[in-house]
Amino acid sequence: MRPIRMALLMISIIGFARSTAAQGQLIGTFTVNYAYNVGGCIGDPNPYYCTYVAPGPIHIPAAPGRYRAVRTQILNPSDDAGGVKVWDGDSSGGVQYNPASGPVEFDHQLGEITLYYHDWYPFDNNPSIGSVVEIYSLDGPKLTLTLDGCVSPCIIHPSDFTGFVPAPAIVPLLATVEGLGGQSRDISFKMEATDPTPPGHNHGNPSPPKGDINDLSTNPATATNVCTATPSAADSNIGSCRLWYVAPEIADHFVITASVIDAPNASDVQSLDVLVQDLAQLPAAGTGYNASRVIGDVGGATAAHPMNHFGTPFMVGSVIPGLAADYFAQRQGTLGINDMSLPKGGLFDLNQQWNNRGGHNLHRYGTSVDINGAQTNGAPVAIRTLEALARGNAYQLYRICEVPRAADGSCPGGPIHFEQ
Amino acid sequence: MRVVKVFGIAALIIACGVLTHARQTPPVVTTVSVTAAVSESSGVYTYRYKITNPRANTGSLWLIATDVSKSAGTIPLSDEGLNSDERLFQATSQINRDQLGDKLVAVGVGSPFGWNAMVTQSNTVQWNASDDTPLLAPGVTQDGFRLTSRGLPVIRHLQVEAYLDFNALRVADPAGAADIPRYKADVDAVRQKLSASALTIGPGAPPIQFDPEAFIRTLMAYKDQAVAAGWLRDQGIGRSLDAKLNAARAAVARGNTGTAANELNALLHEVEAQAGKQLSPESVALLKFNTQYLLSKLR
Repeated sequence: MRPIRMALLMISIIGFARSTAAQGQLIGTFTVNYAYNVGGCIGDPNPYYCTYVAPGPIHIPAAPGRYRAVRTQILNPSDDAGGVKVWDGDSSGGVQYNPASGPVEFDHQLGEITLYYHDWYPFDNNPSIGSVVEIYSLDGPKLTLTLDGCVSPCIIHPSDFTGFVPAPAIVPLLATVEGLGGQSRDISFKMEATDPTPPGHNHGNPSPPKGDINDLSTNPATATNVCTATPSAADSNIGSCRLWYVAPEIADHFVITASVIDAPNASDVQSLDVLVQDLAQLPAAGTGYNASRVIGDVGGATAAHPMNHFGTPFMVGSVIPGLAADYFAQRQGTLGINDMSLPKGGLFDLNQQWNNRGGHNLHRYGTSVDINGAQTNGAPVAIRTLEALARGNAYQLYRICEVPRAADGSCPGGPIHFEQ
Repeated sequence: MRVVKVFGIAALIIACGVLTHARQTPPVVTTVSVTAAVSESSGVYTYRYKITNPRANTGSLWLIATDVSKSAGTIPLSDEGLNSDERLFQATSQINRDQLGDKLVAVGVGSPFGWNAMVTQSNTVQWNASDDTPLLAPGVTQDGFRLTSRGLPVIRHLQVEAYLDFNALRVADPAGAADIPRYKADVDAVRQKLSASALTIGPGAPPIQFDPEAFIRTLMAYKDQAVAAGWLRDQGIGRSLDAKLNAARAAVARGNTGTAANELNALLHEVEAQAGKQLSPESVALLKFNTQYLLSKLR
């Protein structure tokens, strides 16, 4: 019966399969046995049918792409039993290739890549007959970068390292590589700010901080921008690794790129915003207050930080206007509203050096407001009235001395800081 | 040697300055005295408070706050006819009212000259001495604090606080945002030491589901609390009021509202007869206006 079967098998060999010298990425090496990896019916080479001896054809999950099958060894040189076959498809259909006559390449669209011997009566097959086949991906690895747990558009707070308890803002960076072919691959990450000057900062020297990429799985954390994707136990062709992006204290928009080091074309990009959401600008003037935008005026705007009156919507829409209106009604004086927060929050670096050593530890979240110690007419503010209004309003503001106190414990003069 | 002497003197001056500041004793406030009287006109109750800072205190008061929170399950009270004077922080009070909604008894607020007031986020009406007014020093009494409301008299807490200059606040400033909760807790602890509270009366809303027997039990509780607060000192009158309230409750339990009303009217006559004698204004307000409300419900 064997000659007939072999003739039928030859009919099913597809003529347009071609061989190539390109090596590709090895997906796996498979031993296909003539007694146990057998499928297909009479007149139908589909290996999803007429499988009578376990385990049957070898089904290899594979993402769409171009592949090559290479037979590298014949286990029994005296008998090839018609040759090992490749099926590209699924139970509903597909194309059969014959790597026995040389390496074959094919564009895999759906289903699996299946290795088998086509024989509808396997019970008398010789188990010493078989082939070793290597499957290569010719597309190279594919990398997918995910900002793990951060829903697009990804927005995180700026970090805050000023307190006794540092509050880093962190996003896990998950790099997943398909096409590993059983080999580990190193992944490198980099981040770039999209704006030369972050929102609200009209100064750029030195360059603004971009944050850090660290490995937080180690203790202590390791400063590195490279991780290694190793093949997973379930699928040697897929692997992933993870690093963590630690946001800077400055608000900005960042782009993070991950690349396979020895395959630079395998890369992916994600963007994220580091900011405090939904901050709004206090109108420049209202009953009882002046938040002038003019550089050097009572509003505290400077050339380096010209937009310094941002706060939470309730702060700028209700708390400050209400407080100022009541102050004016009782004192007939106008308050000078000095620094609040920058348009997107984050560090308000008075010294223009991207650190807090210039004065403002706070002013990051839209919950701070500095009120000048003098009314706009030059008279000192009525401090008890101001403190009562600060304390009793919906935000229950606390007065804080934000600058180093004098030796006698007093808070130096200047704007009076209130904090939600 | 002269240089050494100059440095020595300078160091002494600095040390004295620091020590002087450090030696400043924080003010002590342990008690406050408050009297409250209530009058009624066209369904609006006017609560008048007189605050005395006892001589036992060393701190001068700048804040006075009384609770005006509204319990769940109580009748919404109209603010019609409740006027506040020009010393109320109108805008901030309105923002807080809008935020608190039904958690607040509707009130009008009046302040003595030199004081301001606001409805706060803490469900209180808070008066503060303005910058042009002397703080309420120990031994000094201030009246003119006023609330108007359609709410019946209930027992409330009133809290006072001495003023402490911000520069004398011995609390470590927060190093950053993460430290602010600690800072606030420390400041609150200092404020607590500068504070005292007393029982008084203020407006409250009656329950939506009116139960006469339960309301009589509330009246009996008011009577007991009035005794405990020193607003009713004559034990004989206390027993007499108890007897009438017990009789009224028993009558209500039997369904005999006529008898209950008679007992409550007798109680009203006794309260009015003893007003200004054995009954303080607080106990008169509690018993009189709540009994009148109960009688109106029994009719």
